[in-house]
Amino acid sequence: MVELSKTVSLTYQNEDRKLFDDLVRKHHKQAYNVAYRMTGNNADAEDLVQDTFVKAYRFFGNYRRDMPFENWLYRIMSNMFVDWLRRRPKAQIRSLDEPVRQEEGETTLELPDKAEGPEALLLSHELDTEMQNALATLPKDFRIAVVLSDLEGLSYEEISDVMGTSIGTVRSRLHRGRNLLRQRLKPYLE
Amino acid sequence: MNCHRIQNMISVYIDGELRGVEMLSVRQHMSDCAECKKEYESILLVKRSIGGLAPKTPPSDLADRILERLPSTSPERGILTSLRMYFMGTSHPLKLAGVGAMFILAALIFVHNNKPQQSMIADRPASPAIVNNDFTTVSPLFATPRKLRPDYFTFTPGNSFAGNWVPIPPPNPYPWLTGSSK
Repeated sequence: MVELSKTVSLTYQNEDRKLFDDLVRKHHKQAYNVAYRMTGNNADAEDLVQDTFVKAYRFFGNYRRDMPFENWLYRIMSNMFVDWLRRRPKAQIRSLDEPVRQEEGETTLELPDKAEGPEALLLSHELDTEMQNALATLPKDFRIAVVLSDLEGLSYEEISDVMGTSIGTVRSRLHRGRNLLRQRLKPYLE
Repeated sequence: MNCHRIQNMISVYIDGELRGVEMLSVRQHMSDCAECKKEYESILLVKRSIGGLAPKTPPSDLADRILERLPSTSPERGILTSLRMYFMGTSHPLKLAGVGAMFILAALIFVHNNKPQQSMIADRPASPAIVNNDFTTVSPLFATPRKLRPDYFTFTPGNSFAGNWVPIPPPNPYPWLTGSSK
């Protein structure tokens, strides 16, 4: 009986491993994209994705199969992202109003003025960079909510589930986050 | 609704998360108010700009590097997940046997818990209404059928022409609790 239960248990564990490998291959690109928009650069995004999947594997036993896997992954990722920011308080978050130290003294970051219309910019590389910079200036909770909603298309209920907050908080974070982004991107979007 | 309230709801409106009256009132307001309409368009542009960002492509070996970092030991399962997986998966003779065993166990527990226990009956103070400890034999006093139209008032001679109608107190249903037998 002991041998039998061991065999059954091992079979399930092997099934889990195989299932998880498939999930990594299926979701790592999407997860990387979200991680990139949260962290703002390739190296940190790679680290965040790898750490997220390793942690997800450790706790795969607690994963409720009725929740979409990517949503569960985003929950782990956003928690790790918050930890990551906490561990690195001087990470790449810079406000546009914040003075930047240079050899000649202090100056502020300036967004270059573009004469093109917003339609042309939507697909441009510049907008990508500027949007990324603007996202980096958002408070972390606003950034996570905006990325999950506008990039990943999650509903308010799903975001509240991922972030462990109420739907009212999600509403407020999205509202304020988008307003801040609009303010930052004013030269581009007007 | 004023513009401030409408502008607070514009993000929610754009996300399609407003329902019913609120959704209609925002829509109605924007058809009349140029300022709110402009606000709506600028927030929509922000949302679409984020949604329109080209997906960042990871290095081609990222999946392999993730898989390399996974520990060789398999993930542990919590008890709840194990049970859930057990029932959600495909059917197997072992599973059926397990379900059968659990059903029989549940039935045994049910029967055991519902069996009358002699010790409990003996410990309970018997009421005079109950003649035997099996709770089935009731004394004749309590077995008397009720009158269909009980007398609520009785007539006593008095000064008035019609006499005095005095209400009869209702019979005490629990005489053994109050110590009175009436």
